[in-house]
Amino acid sequence: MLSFAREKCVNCRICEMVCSFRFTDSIHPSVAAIRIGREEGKWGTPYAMVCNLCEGLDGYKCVDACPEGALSLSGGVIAWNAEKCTRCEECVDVCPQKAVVFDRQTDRINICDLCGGKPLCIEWCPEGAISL
Amino acid sequence: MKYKGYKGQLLTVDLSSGKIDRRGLEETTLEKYIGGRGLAARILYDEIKAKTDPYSVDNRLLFITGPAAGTLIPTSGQYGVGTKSPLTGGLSVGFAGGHWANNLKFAGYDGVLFWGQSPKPVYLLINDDRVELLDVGHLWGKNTDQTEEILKKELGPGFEIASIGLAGENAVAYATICNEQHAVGRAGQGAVMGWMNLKAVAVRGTGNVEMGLSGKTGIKEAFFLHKTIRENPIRAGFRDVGTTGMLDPINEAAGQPCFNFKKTYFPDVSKINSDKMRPWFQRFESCSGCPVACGSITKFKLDGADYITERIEHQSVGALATNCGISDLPKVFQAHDLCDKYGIDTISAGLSIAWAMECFENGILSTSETDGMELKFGNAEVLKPLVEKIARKEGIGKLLAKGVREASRELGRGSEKYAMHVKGLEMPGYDPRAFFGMALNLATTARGADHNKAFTIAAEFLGVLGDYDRFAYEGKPELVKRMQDSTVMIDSIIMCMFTVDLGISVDLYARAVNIATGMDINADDVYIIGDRVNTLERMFNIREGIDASQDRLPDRFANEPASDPEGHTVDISRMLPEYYKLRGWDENGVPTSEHLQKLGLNL
Repeated sequence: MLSFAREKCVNCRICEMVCSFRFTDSIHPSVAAIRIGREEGKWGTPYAMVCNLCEGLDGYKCVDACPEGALSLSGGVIAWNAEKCTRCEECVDVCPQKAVVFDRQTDRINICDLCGGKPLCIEWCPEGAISL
Repeated sequence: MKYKGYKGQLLTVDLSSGKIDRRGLEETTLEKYIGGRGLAARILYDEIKAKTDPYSVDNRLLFITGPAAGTLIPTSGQYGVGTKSPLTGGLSVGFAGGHWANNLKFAGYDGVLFWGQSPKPVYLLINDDRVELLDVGHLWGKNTDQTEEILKKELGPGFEIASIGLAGENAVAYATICNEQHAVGRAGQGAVMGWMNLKAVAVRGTGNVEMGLSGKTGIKEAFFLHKTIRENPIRAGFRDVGTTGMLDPINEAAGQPCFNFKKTYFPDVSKINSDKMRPWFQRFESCSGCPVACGSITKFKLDGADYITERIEHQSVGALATNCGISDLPKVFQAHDLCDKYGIDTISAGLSIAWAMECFENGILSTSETDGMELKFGNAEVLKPLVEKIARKEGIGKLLAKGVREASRELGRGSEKYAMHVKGLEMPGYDPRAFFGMALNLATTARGADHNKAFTIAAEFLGVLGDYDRFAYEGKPELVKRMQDSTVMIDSIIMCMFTVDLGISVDLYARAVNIATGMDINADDVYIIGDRVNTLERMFNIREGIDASQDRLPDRFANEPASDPEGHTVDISRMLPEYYKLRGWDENGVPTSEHLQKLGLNL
């Protein structure tokens, strides 16, 4: 899973842009599997919304919530099965990190899959704020 | 729309009637003007009739993005705002960073074109395809930081706000528009917005933007541009202290304007340089898509209290500190912070104050006219009250809010010779006597004294884009023409100006256009498009009666020596004829009909 160093983030949003490009072949940050939020107030400190495999919690919330068994832990990431999925968005609602998103345009559920081993966000982050 | 990188439509807003509409963009127009500044020049030339009063329903205010916004092109998070300037009477398009531009694109629009005047104060809300004008009574009278804070609270997360402060509401001639202290509006875009009764544009976009190059090719090509910037050695300097890193070397070269351009070397530079402010930087803050992050949240102490603001720029230090002879850095930071909050251009504000100081020291202004203030060079105590008075147009501020050209015309008494401006726009902090290419650029750009229309310092001083003798006349007309033309592309795809120092060559700007849009342009096309846009901007001004007689610098630069050992002066008449010729303009600086035809400009 990805680890995010908040103190290094400068809020450039490059991670969410490049992440969404991989999923949608367009720049679409609102459906990226890593998204940057900011604490309230002027220049609020950035934080990341990205799957951290329910760290410190019991089980995997999205996997448990899926009524169709479309989500499973596989190779250290959450794998999504498009055929089984009915797009009920239960997984989106339960994710404590807001890291599961449904993209209506491409009809996909996006969850960080570490880009199959070499995450783009790590390569593209100019600040070294993201690591495995 | 054949081309990617665009959403293909502008929002149009008639503030008088409240009617909001959408207008498609033509592919052929985009091929000729790309976006950003180029497209703004074309739209505003066509939309604004000759001799339009900037404060009238016939003026236009155009928020515009380029094809880079929202894409993987580095430093893409910039937008432009163009209008007929109340300060210069000519065309003015400026730029600001932050996250506003990308949100507009993701909401589905390339720009927003305003005209008219709302019967009551309003703001425009753009929440994807929901677009409406909303009452803003509770925000009128608030500054930009307060407006942002209140609107963000009301609207919820994800909104970016570009707003005016008191200065815009009061039509200070150099009022700006700010989002998170990123300002646009040298030459008064904020004043036009205020006249229109438009307080803010709030935008949130959740849609997508496609790129010309898709898939792995798109990723690879765009990442090459990111890497070029990341690996450039100058990036570290930008990161460390931002543009204020320029202060020491420019001062050492006797090119730092001081005391309203009387001197070009500031003796107290160690009290205000980047070493002095470095300990105040708290954490870095980037614009969208930028691998540099030259912004920094800055904490300074003044009279025992803590203040948080954005990092100051070299230009603001030049205007508010060295040109006013002031070396009290916290007070300079406070004035710069207030300028952002009230929405005032720091360069014009600083130069207006410096002009008043020189008038005061020469007995042209007395304390009876300065609200009792001793406007002596170096008096840091007057900065805060003067910025406030300008924003509120109170007392002496009423005069200074007009900018130095109008203020000196109104005051008379020989004060005109202390008005440091070109075409009405106050001069930036690179002394023309120290950089002859910059001198020619400042004299000839349509917007007035704008150093960013050809940052010749890179070629004349930094050694980044060539190795020109900064005191030579030879070769400068060509350098300036070429840089003015290539800069059009930076401003039209809209990447950050600073990329010119960070390894992005003309070839790479062309490549960026191709990656974002799917067009196929090369460096030659960049120069042709640049030539077209500079000539079109020239034609806009000529239509307004702004002719070659205004391609000039204040007399001081030809008559009074700079502070370097040789005491240089600069005579731009030694460069202008060749410059006009290279541009395809006649000896009176008017573009010839053959040249207009060659550029495909049917006006």
